[in-house]
Amino acid sequence: MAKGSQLKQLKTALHSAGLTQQPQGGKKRKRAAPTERDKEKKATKLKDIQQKLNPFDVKVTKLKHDVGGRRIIGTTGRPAQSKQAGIEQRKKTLLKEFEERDRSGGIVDRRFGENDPTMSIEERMLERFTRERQRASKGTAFNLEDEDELTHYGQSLSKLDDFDNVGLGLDDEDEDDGLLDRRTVEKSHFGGFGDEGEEDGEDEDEDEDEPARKKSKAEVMAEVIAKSKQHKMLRQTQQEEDENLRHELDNELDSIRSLLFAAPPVPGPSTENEAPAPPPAVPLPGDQDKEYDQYVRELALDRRAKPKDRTKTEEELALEEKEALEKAERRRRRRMNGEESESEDERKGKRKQTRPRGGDDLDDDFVEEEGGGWVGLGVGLAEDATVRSEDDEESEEEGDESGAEGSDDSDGDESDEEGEDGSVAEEFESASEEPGEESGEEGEEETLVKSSRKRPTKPSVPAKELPYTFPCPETHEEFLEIVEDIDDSDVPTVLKRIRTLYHPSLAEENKFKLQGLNDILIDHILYVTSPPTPRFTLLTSLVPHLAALTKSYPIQSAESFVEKLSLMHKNLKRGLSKGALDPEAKTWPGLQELSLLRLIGQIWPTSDMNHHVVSPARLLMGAYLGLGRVRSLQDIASGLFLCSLFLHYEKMSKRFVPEAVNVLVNSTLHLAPHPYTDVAALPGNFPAQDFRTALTLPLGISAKKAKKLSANKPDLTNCLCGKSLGEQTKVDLLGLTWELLGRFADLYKGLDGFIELFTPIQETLAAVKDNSLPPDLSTRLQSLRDSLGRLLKFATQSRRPLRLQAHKPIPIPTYIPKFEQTSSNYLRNRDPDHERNEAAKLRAQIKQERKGAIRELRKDARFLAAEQQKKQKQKDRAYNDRMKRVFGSIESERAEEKAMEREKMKDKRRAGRK
Amino acid sequence: MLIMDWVSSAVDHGSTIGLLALNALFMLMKDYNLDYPSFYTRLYSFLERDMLHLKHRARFFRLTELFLSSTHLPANLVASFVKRLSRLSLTAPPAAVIMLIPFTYNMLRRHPALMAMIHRTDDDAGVECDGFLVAEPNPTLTNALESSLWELYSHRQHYHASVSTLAKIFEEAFTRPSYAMEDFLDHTYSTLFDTEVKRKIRKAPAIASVLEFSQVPEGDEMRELWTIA
Repeated sequence: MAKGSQLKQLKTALHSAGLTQQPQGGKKRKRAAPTERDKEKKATKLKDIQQKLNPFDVKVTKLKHDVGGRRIIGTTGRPAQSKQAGIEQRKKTLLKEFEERDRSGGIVDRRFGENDPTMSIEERMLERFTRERQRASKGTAFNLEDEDELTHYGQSLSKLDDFDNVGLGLDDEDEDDGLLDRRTVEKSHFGGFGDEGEEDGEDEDEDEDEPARKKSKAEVMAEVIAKSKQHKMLRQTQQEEDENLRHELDNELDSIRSLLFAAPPVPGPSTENEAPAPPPAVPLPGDQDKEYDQYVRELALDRRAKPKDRTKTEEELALEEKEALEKAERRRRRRMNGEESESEDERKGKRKQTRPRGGDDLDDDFVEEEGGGWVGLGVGLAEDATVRSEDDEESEEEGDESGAEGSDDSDGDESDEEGEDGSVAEEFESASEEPGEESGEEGEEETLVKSSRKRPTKPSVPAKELPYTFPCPETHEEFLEIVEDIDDSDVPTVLKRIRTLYHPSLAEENKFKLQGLNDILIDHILYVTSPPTPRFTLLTSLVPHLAALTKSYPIQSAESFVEKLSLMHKNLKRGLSKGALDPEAKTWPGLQELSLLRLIGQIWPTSDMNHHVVSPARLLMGAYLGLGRVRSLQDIASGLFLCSLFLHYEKMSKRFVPEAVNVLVNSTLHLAPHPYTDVAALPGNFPAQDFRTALTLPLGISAKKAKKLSANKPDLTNCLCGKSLGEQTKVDLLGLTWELLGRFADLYKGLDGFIELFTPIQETLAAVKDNSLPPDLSTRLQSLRDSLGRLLKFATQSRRPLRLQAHKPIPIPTYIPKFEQTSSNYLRNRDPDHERNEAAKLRAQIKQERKGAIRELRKDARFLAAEQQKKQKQKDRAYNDRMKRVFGSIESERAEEKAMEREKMKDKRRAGRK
Repeated sequence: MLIMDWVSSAVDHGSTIGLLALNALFMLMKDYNLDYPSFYTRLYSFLERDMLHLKHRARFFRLTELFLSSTHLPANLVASFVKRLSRLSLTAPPAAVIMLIPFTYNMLRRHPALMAMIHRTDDDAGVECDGFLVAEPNPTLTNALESSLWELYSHRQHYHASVSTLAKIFEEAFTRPSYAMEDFLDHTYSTLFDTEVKRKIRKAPAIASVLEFSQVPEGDEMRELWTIA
């Protein structure tokens, strides 16, 4: 505010506005007539000054803590003026509405831009023109001149020529009197009304609707009647036919019934309940009803056929089969690559680290990785390594001290001393760790399934009638009792019957019985293949049953397989602890073990990377191959069989088995004549511990004896159980060795290290003296050499340096902390959640607007009330005025009247006196 | 000092005896300042065909890890060891391979010059990409750096799942500082087998799906090769 007193301020204000000049005498004449405009100007200026100077007009809100540089709305205000402005506004809008509230009609000016003063007339014209054009172009829906066609029932009307196929039938139907029949309507009247489907019944209504059809009503009725008659006829003939059929069936019932009961006993409770013998074919007529009732009851109690899915067509079946196969193959592939199966993936999806490694990873999640990556090792080692390392450290310390004196751990040193020339026994500490366990042949008996029972001699009476029911065996002994008198070829039948009798859906405990049967079958297979006279045909026929049981109870079956495997492993450990070179020790698998391993290859998917049965089996086979020492031809045969098993196992997955290749090279060296005399002279790095030892020297094929022999497929039983194996076996085995080598080479040709792996083998083969071999073998050797050479050549050509780290470089982890985007202002509590924050803001705004609206409405109401009151007052005043006026006039009239009366009275009195 | 001659002759003898004597020799060198000429050449000569099949291989690897842990060793020398071991691993039992792979990883990590053995970008192919001299007894002259570790990498397809998963670490990013060798040293067939056997069967194991029970699954491969009566 300006300084000084009110008066001074007024003076300065007037002075600055140029209103202070005192009218001077001389000039007064000139300015005698100030124009209207000047007056107005002056008045506004004065008003301005007056308003500025009136301190009561300004409302000031005092700030408590003034911070400079801020503009805060609402510190000063002019309430009177704003109120006045509001009232003026309302007068313009609300009052007008209020006054016109009971009126209707009138003209609203909707011309474009009429009330918009910013537009010039030309602009308005232009805009109006464009609007009009737009409106015109929009409304062409019913424009006949345009290309839009008219349709009726989806058909173009222009294509429907009025005179097409009408046939001008009107001439023929004279009796119609020019009325149109249905056909004509359909043809010429836009295809009729589309009611061809719903015929006759509604025709009548139509007829009533259309006066034109009235005449044909009789016709239509006749048609209806004819149709209903036809239907009736049809129904009757159908019924008759059914009746006939039923009669026929009734006649044939007896024969059908006899068929029903003559059928072999079907498994299930219903069969057992049924009458054992069929009733007489032709019952007495008196009994007939009773019997019929009986049958009805039986049939009612019989199990009903359940509704089934629709029988699928052949294509669908084929497609389904194909899809199932494809799915199985996909699954197998996933398992082969060691991935989880799909369903498991979904389950583990959250737990697993699915996110690829990013630059922000701080490497602190490696624990999880370790757990996930190679479970087999990480977990197993944690326990194993601790236990074992304790043992080891102890023994190591001992060894360190006493190592110089040459007495080492008890288990290794015997063989150490045996192999003076540096060939050393394999590691096998296990036996000494378990002194409590009896070593020796006891383990055998465990695997052997208690073969105390004598093998049944072939039944002299060839298979009489096989009984249909058997008790479910609970032990292998019981099973042996059952099959004691039964021919081998019937054993599968017996098994099939047992499985049917004890189907798990029939009784609850059957499930466990069948699981037991699974174990028994494994036992029996081992029993059947035990050395003296193994029966492989029986084995082959048993396999499907075992496979089926395994399919039903995979977990239990896997457990029993694993159990057998660990027994075998224990046996192997025992054999090794006796000394791998001891001819009595059982370090190579026998017939039983081999059959079990073969069985595993048939039943379980061997291409899996991790499998509960196959993985241990593979390891066990590897251990056999890696740890067994060759002492006889049987050992070689066993080893070769294991190699072929491995070949079979890895046929799909093409996994690398170093042990198998080693054994194959070694058996070549054992069997074939070659110039090497010393281990050091051998090419390559494969272990050759049994090279030219006292036990393996006589295994070589002697040139003279074998000259005329040819290589056949070796006989497994003979190789493993035969006491005296001649040159023929050696030749067979050598042939097999080379066959296997060829196949393994083919299997491993994709391996990165194929060259390194097979070059020594090629050299060894090249050194074999083929002139002292039988011709059959030497040709085979030649072809093997050729194929190996070819494979190696290709491998060398296609060799590339490894490029394993070709992935894009990992960004350096960033250690910049992550900043919070929210402020830490304690005065205004900001919500960190953006959305919630926005919502809160919106809510506040709504509240404010609402308050404002309420305030406005109140002001409106007040304004209206004031207006109404004003009006009322006006009305009252007018009324009062009028009343006053009326009263006044009446009073004056009355006064005149009275005056007149008084005059008259006066006159009368005057006249009376007179 | 008294047993110095005896120990060194034992080491020269090689194989198991040499292996056991190695520890003693190392003690002598470390604590008594024994000067042993061409130590690494001798160590290299230990790596022969039976090395990975020995009972005491874990002990040897503990020592070798120690010997080769110095970053001041020439890359040539370390590369020879690594290449030689990888060559040997082709015929080794799975337990030895399990030991070798982390060992090699640690070596590669410690001597980044060796990364060329698993990742080389030059385009030569065929014979010339392998410069390794197998017969060379001196580990500094074997040209191993000009070769690649194909042999070790082929264990990616090893029949034992742990080995094949381990072998895959070479194609992943080298983010782990090093593996603790102790976890991998003392494996044998029986520990691996026990691990497999002890694994609890939670989910029903998969069954060979091609098996149709109507037809007998033939061991067709086996029948081709053997007469099974």
